[in-house]
Amino acid sequence: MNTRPDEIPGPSSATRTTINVLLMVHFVFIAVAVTVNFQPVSSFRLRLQNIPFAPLYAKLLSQDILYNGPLANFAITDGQFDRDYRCRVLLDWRDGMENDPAAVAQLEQIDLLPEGVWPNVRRQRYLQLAKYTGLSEGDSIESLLPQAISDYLLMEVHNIPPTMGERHRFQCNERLLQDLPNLRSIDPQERDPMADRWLSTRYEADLVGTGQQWAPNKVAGREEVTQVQPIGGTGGGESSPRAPQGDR
Amino acid sequence: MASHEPLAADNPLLRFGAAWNRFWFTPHDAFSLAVLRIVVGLILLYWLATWTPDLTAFFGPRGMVSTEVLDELGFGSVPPSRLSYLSLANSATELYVLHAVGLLVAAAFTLGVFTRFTSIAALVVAMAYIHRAEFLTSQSDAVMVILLFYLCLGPCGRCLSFDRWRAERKQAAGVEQDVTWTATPSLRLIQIHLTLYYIIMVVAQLTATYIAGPQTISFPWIDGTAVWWLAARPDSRWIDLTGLLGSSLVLINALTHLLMLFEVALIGGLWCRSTRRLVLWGTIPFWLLLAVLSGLGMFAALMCAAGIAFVEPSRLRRLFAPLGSRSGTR
Repeated sequence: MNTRPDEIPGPSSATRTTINVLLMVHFVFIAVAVTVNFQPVSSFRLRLQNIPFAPLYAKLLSQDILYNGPLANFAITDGQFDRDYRCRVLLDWRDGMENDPAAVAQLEQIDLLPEGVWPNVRRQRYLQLAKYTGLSEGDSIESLLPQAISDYLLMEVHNIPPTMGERHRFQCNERLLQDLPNLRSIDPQERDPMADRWLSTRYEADLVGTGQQWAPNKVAGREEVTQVQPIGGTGGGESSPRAPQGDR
Repeated sequence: MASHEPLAADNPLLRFGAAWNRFWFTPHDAFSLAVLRIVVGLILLYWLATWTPDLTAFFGPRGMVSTEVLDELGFGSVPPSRLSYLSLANSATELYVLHAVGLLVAAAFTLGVFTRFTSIAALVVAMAYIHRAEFLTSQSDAVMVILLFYLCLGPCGRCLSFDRWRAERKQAAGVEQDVTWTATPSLRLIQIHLTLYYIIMVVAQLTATYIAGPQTISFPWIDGTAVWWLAARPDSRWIDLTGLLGSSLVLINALTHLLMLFEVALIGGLWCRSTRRLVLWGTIPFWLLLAVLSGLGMFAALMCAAGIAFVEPSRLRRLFAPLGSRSGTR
C-alpha cells in the first residue's frame, strides 16, 4: 500500500500557493495572539489586536490565553492568581458572628466544591469558578457570580427558598500558600493547609431572601454595601474582571 | 519541485522556497495523524464525559453559569454564549441531548467514522464547551482545540479507522495511499505549535515573578522554588508531596532546575533526529511529574500526545502491527 515518498505526486502549484497563503495568515494570527497575551503588553503590541479577524480567530481556537500564565508557568504567576479559592454559604448567619469563630464553626456550611468530587478535571472547574468569583471582587460585576452560586446551592441543591427576611452568609476565600521557610517554624499541628487559618476572605456578602432569589449585600468592613444586581438585568456588561486574563 | 532544483542552487530565495516546499509538502505517512486522532479523541471523550455530572450545575437554565449570567458578565463585543451551541438548550433535557450528541461525535471521531465530517464536528463540540464558560476552562483546553483543529486539516482517518475498514471492503473503489502530502501540513503545524508552546514556557518561566509577600518578589523558576509552589496548592494537586519536598530544599531546587533544563532541551531536541527519540521518551516522566505536582493531568496528557507528531511513522506502525492490515498498519 505504501509507496516511496519521492514517487508520490505533490500538490499543484496553485494548491501550494493557496496553502502557503493560508499558513501565513494562520501564523500571523497565532503570533498576534501570543504577542498580545504575553504580559505586560506594550501599547504597540496591544494595537495588533486591531488586525481584522485576528482576535476572533484566536478566540475561536482558544488561543487567546495568558501565555505567561497558567499555560507556561503551570499557574505560578502572581500571588493572587496562583491560589486556590473556595466559595461557601454559611446558613443562618447572625449579626456579630464575625468576631465569634466558635459560633461560625457551629453553622451549617454549603461548599461550592462538592465533597469528594472526582476526577481532578471536574474539581478544577469548581476551583476555577471559585477563583473567578474571588478575582471579580472590586469589579462592577462582583456580585453576579456570588448570587448565581448562592441561588444554585441554596435553591437547587438544598431546596432552601429565598424567604423574605432570612439571611445567610456567602464567603469567597483564597487559600494562602504555605511558604517553605516559614512553614518549618510553624507548630506541626497547625500546618494543615486546609485549616481556616490559611484562608483569607476575598469577598463576603450577606444573602438576603427577597422571595425570588438570594440577593448578596457585600460586607465591606463593618458597612454593608447593597449590591443587589438581578441576573438578567441591565448594567455590568461593559466591564470584565481580571480573572479571565489570569487564567485563560 | 524537481525542475526548480538547478535554479534553486544559485538563488538563496529560490533555495529557501524549495526548502519551504519540501518542509510543508514532502509526502508523509498519515499513520501518525491516525494515532494522534485516536489519542486526542480518547482525551476528548474523557473530557466530555467529565462534564456529564455537572452539566446542569454549570450550564442548566438555573445553573451557576446560565446564559443570562454569562451574558451579564460580558466578554468583549461577542457574547460568548453565541459561540456555543449549548446555549441553545432551554432545559436540562435539551442540554443532555446536546451533550449525548457531543459524546457520540467524539466517539465517532476516535473510531474514524466518516472522519472528514466528524473531525470538524469534534472541533465544534470541544469549542462549544469551552466558549460556553471560558473561565471554567484550563490551559489543557487550548491545547486540545488546536490539536483538533490541525487534525481536521489532514487525512487523520486514513488509517486505524472505520473509514479504512470500509474502504478495504470496497476494494473496487481502491484504497487511498497512506503516504500523502496532505498529511504533511497537519503534522508540521502540530510540531511547530508544540515547539512554540515549549519556547513560550521557557521564556515565561525565565521572566516569571512571584509576589511572595508585601515587599518580596521571587523568581520561582530561577531561584528554584517553583516546584514547591506547585505542590503547595492543596486543592489542585493530585497527591500531597509537601512532606517529601519540605524535607529538602535542595530537592525542590534540583527538580525545578531539571524541569526547566528539560524544556530547553525539548525545543532543540525535538527537531534534531539524533536526540528526538531521547527527548520524546523524556517527556513522559517530565509531564507525569508536573501532573502529580500541579494536578494538571489532562494538560500533561495532551502535551505528551502532541509529541506523537514527532515520532517516526514506522515506529508507530510497528507498535500497532498486531492490529493487522485491516486497520492500515501495513
